[in-house]
Amino acid sequence: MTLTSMELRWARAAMGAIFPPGGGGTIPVGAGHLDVDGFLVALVGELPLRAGLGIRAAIWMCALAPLWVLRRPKLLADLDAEPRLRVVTALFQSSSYVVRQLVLLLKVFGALLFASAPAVRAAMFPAPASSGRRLAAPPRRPGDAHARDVA
Amino acid sequence: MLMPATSPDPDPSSVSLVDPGDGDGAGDRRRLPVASPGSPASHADEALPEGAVVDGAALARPFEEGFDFVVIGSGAAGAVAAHTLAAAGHAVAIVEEGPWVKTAELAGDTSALFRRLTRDAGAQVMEGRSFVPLLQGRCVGGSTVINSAIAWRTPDDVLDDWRARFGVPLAPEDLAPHFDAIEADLSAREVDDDVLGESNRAFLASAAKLGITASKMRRYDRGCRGSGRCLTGCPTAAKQGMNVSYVPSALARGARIVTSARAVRVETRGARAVGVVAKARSGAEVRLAARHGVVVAASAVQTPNLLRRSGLRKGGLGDHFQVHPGVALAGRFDAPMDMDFGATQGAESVHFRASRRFKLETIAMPPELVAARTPGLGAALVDRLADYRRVAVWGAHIRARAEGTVRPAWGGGDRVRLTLGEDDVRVARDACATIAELLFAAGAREVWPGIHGVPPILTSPDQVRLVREGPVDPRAYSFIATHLFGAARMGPDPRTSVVGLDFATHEVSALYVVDSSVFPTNLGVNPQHSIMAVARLAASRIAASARGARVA
Repeated sequence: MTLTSMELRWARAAMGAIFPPGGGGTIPVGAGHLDVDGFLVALVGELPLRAGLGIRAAIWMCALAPLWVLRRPKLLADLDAEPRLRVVTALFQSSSYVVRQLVLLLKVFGALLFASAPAVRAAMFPAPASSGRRLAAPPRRPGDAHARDVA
Repeated sequence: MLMPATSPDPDPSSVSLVDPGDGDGAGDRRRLPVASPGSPASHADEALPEGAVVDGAALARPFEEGFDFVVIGSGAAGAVAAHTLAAAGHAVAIVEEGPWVKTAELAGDTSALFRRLTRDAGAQVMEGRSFVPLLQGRCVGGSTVINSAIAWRTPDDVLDDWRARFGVPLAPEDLAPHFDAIEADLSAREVDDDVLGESNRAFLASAAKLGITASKMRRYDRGCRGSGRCLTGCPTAAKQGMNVSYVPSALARGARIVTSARAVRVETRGARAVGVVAKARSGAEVRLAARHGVVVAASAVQTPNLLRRSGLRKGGLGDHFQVHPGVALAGRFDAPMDMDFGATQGAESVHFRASRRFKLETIAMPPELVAARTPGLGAALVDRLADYRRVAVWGAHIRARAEGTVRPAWGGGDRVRLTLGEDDVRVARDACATIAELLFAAGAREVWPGIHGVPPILTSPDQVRLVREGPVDPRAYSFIATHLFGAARMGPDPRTSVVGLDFATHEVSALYVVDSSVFPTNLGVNPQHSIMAVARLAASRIAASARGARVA
């Protein structure tokens, strides 16, 4: 299954609303600044059909949600940042389990993209730290698989 | 035509984790074939015998060969069974649906690794009133590549229950020599203090403060460096997954493995298993003849459906499926918790296992997974995520009573259905409240319950009551299922069980099932150790039986 360019645009808007740049510059980039298209194309290509359909349904739901959440004849991608967030938050807090789950699906996949981005990592682990920076070299024991590595 | 091979003579010079000897499980201990200092290869998965691995992704032509045994699956059960049979001198083939992702490739981001290592790119779900992610490894080593290598012997109360209610006479003394051997092979030991990490340390201190018995985790560990990356495959091969232990050892004893090849069906002749037909990822057909038998170890989801595709129907095949639903809560602290360093799961408590049906555990999650659990959306979410170093995640798995079903899905694949009853959800709610208490007692400034209907951020211990009074609807919780059981239960009666007490199916002879599909119930503790011990016991008996048949 592949997503259309229109669906990718809608997905960028939704993921950008879920993961915008942090307030006060904590994390200076949002998901909208990342390669959402490339990520989703690769992901959806590997997902089973039903999960792929779930992503597609989530994108469509978020895209069209301003119609009933804000009662405005606009798509999510055409809104400013603040009303975008209001729309996806309303969906995320919906009393309907399915609606909540569809937004959660976008949040889960958006998290995989967003939190792995180098700029985001750099903000989470300020220099000189980086992930794995404090790998220990525990006492070497006979039979340790990586004994040579830590010697 | 499928041509069975004759058994090669055991090569006494071959290295091995253990020679199972004559089937009593005691065995004769030899060296592990891990790379040693100065050897050309860094890890055991790089020093493989030439020709031992057939890559189904690159298979250009149909592949056909004969063996004594064909083992389906290379996870905890399949790898141990294959190794045990090979060490007993049998010609063994392993069929694995996923690729062999080598230790050197276990770098990169969580998403890319999940897509390579897990079934359905990590998007498999269990359906019911709610959708529950069902995480399974689909690679050489199976789920042992993506779990935390926790070693728990089968509790006696579970074995007592199996004997009393299901007529399964597995006694602690039957399994003990197999546990002993596996623990020695895989170096089962408590987490070292120098790789314990802050989150695990805080859990232990908090439990002590609240009077909850807790301990450091016991894991298969040959020199853990605390990379905190168990869930995406150990980058140093310190975690003794099957991909760096029993599978390479089986290959060193003459076994072969066909990777990236999905077992389509077991071939039978006159109600006897005689081989396996698989489809390689390249599209080529793989046909493996089995002179003595076929050993199925494809997991509690794939095994029942494979048996069904092979013509089996009776004994409740696909029914009585069980899981340990897992829940997790995060806490945000003033001090760094640094989940990126330390044992991924380094501390636990079975304090409430018997009385309240849950087991507590720490679980270090990478930022990609924490991001999905961080409350809310938008800048508030991102700001909290920026504080990742001060976040700890602790969880519990529930000994659920609910049973579900495993059936083929429309269009291929597997359909798993299970709905947790109110009784199980109450246990989950109790576990969540206990974790919240532990997090606050450890000094958490915020606790994120992740339960719909409960405030997303708790800021005081008084608010834990909101969790205790929370909903009992499974749709309110974010469960995950990783421990899977049943769906091809063992028992003496063919009307109520799929597999007999000799691990052969009631319907087809020489067709053995040795994974957790045969477990009559879940365990209440992490299952890998039990799965391996049962598989080793089964394979030892199967090997001895085949040897007896050959002599006769």
